[in-house]
Amino acid sequence: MTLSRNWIWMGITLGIFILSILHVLLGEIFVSSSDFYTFLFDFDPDKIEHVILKEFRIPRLFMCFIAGSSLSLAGLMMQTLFQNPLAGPYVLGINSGSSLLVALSVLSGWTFVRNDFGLIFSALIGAGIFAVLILFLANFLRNSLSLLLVGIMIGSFTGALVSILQSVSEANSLKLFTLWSMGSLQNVQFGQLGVIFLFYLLALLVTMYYSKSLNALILGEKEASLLGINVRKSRIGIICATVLFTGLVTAFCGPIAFIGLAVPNLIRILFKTQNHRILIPACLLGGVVFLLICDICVELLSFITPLPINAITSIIGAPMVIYFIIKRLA
Amino acid sequence: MIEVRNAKIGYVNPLIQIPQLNLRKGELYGLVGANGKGKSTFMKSVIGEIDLLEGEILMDGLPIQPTLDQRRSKLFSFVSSRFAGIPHLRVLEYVLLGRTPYLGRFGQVTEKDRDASILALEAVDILHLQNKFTEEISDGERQMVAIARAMAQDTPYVFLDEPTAFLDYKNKRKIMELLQQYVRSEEKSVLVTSHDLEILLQSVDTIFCIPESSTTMRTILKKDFELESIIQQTFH
Amino acid sequence: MKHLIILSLLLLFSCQESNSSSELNSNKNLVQYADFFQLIQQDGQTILQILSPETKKIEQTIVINPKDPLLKVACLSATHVGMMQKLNLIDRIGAVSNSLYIYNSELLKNVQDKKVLELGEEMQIPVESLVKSGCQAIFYSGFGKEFQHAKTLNKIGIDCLVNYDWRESHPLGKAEWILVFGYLMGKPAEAHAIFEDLKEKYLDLQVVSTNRKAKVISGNMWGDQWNAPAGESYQATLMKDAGAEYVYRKTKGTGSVQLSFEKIIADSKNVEFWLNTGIPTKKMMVASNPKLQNMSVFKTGKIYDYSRSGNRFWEMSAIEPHKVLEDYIRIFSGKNIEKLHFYHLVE
Repeated sequence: MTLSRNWIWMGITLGIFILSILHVLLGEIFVSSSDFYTFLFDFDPDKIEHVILKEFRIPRLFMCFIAGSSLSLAGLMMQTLFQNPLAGPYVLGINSGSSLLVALSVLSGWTFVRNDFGLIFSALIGAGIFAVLILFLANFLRNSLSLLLVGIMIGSFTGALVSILQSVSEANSLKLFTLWSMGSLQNVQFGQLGVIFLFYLLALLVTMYYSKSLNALILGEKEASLLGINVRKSRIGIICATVLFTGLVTAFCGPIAFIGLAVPNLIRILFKTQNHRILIPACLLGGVVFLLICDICVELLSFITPLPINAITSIIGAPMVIYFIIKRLA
Repeated sequence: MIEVRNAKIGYVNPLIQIPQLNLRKGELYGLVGANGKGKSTFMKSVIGEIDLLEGEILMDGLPIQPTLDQRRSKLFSFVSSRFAGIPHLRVLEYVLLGRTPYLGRFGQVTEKDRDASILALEAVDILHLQNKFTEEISDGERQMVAIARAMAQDTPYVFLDEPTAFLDYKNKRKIMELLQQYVRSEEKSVLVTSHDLEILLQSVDTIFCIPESSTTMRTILKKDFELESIIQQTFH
Repeated sequence: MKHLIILSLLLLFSCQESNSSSELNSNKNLVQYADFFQLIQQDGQTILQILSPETKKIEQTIVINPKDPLLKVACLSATHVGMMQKLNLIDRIGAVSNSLYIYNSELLKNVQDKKVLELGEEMQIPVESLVKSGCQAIFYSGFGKEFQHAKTLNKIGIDCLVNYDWRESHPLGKAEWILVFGYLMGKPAEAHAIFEDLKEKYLDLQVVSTNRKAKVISGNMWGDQWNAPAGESYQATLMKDAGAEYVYRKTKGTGSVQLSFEKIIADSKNVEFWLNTGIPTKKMMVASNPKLQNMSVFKTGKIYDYSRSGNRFWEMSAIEPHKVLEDYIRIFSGKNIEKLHFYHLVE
């Protein structure tokens, strides 16, 4: 058992390494490994390959790491907290907040919101408002099931508002909103990476701090409480980390589907454990591998047709999950 | 030792009145009563989850406090009537969760925790199941595993809420024998609720009975055990 | 009351072969530049044929009745409004899509006075209101596959006329759609005169060759892709006729091409001009996509856009291609740069 698990760890790590190199070197403009070398040690702002590496390839790779791991970890925590393998990072409705604000700024024709701040800002504000709302409710509601229901209700409610906005908006804005809702790893700039990483790190530390609580919560909130876990505090902490993870990703990349749902399930099947001290690092790395594979597909297929990352994650993810489930049953 | 004195227990109106009740170390107790008579409420009150309406509970001579989760988890452990198993959760992992109160801040498991879990599995004679998944073993085995988890938690007081309800006769006997052994060898105080009066009478030292006709809890000592009369009191 | 005889593609299906456009070429076709409609003179009658941009087959056939022109119509596109204005027929517009997109002050006033109805999006127009407005026909752009209420409207006697002006690849072909309006509204001579006049102006301005060709890029980012006019598009023709070298002049198609931003960065390295950003200021451009700053043309080149002229551009540019061309020529040459019709410098 231990041996095979070590092999999985090695495979994932090696996979990340190879996929990252592939990811950086792939693209419409040919970038050679020597370009990459000079980029690292002798940056020339006038050299087009260097500019492309700095402004496009590196931020995109970085976002694969951040978004892939954030969404997987958020999904893992939600699945554990709600004791439901169908839960994902979006059950709390954080993405609904982003989506509503983005829809407002793109579709309503509030040009000042749209042009002076940009979509990322709208998405951040939306995620923030809804995060505060969810945390308030989490503190107020007695059990997690109610919270899950409330999250779903909020999602439907804002979804309806967005639909109304969509129905009254003109074609161009509608297309812009649709594009946003398909997700993109390409909107982040080099200069933003620091801030993103900081928030990511914060969320990751909170997640790690609650790994003991998460382990006990596998048995449900009542049992966890009898095992000495402060369930109320843990719930707030876990939600905080989830909100940070998903808010960050939704703001900078739009709502990216499926990873948060698929990866934690895949990891549990692969590692055959419920120990979060293993699941957390495994989901972190697994999410990165998964999103790297998806984004490399986007890059390769972009020579034929442009595809949204959101479509690829589901197209690759769903058969994978089905395969593993069938294999496990057989 | 836990002593309950002149207590009235319930949420708003008293469900049970207890003039006097003791839980001593090294003894196995049975709690009987019809459904809805307040067996669970009694257990929740003892661990401080529900406040007493009247009276007091002393632990080792001191009034019991509405304790924090962390401290409570080192005093009381629980086994519920059914553990259905959890996907991908192995038996040993599950038993290790019983060690949660003793783990470090980040949940790191030490050699001591691992040893305690292995010992618990050995005590209930299911060490061979340690790497099985909790979903793939039988109901009887799962109940054993749940008891092993409570043992790994290593608390002076262990409460089991109808642990034999879903088991066949052989496994019911096995569980009760196991508890008898555990109480003697580890000097624990164990309280079992059950409707299986016959088996209960064969194994416990004292029975607390909430009679059908009144709310006052009665203590029946082993010398007074008589199946027919207890059934009569409890259910008619 | 049905004013026009429209035979839809479906009805024509059985006799498609005999009615194909090639056979009618023996008769005189009055259209010079436009690809997606024909005006055939045959046996003393004028027949208007709208061709599908996808299949080039006849989609609608209308036999023009000079004695029975349309007196009240709905115009869903700004281009239609511009053409009606040129023909002095603003008073015959009975319905528009949305007053937000109207520039013409007379029409705007009519909307405010409730003399003109607002219908909303092409795909979801309220049929009953349209009937109530008394419009005899509706001009639409055919963005969707099928005009949703065509069958219903035809039954009630409202003719649905598709305008593929926006699919034309030559600026003069686009402007030539004024003939469709002219013939249907009973002003054929006026329409011909207007078109001949603008054609002459356009051809006079057209730069045949210059020694130094300005390098141009056009379009902007849409999501992760750059939407650039394709090499055979209306925009590409304008740039060519203005004597510029459009970076993607060799791409195929009359619509637009999607390119990755990486490619744009590389291809726009030595570009001097950037047209049609769709965004009026550099600050707003950065807000919409901060990565635009990495383009050398953003920092050192000249950027021009029409967005400040807003609805006026959308209403008039199709029917005034010579003015758009003049703008382009002025932008590329730097002469008379202060007298642009539609465009402005993006700063």
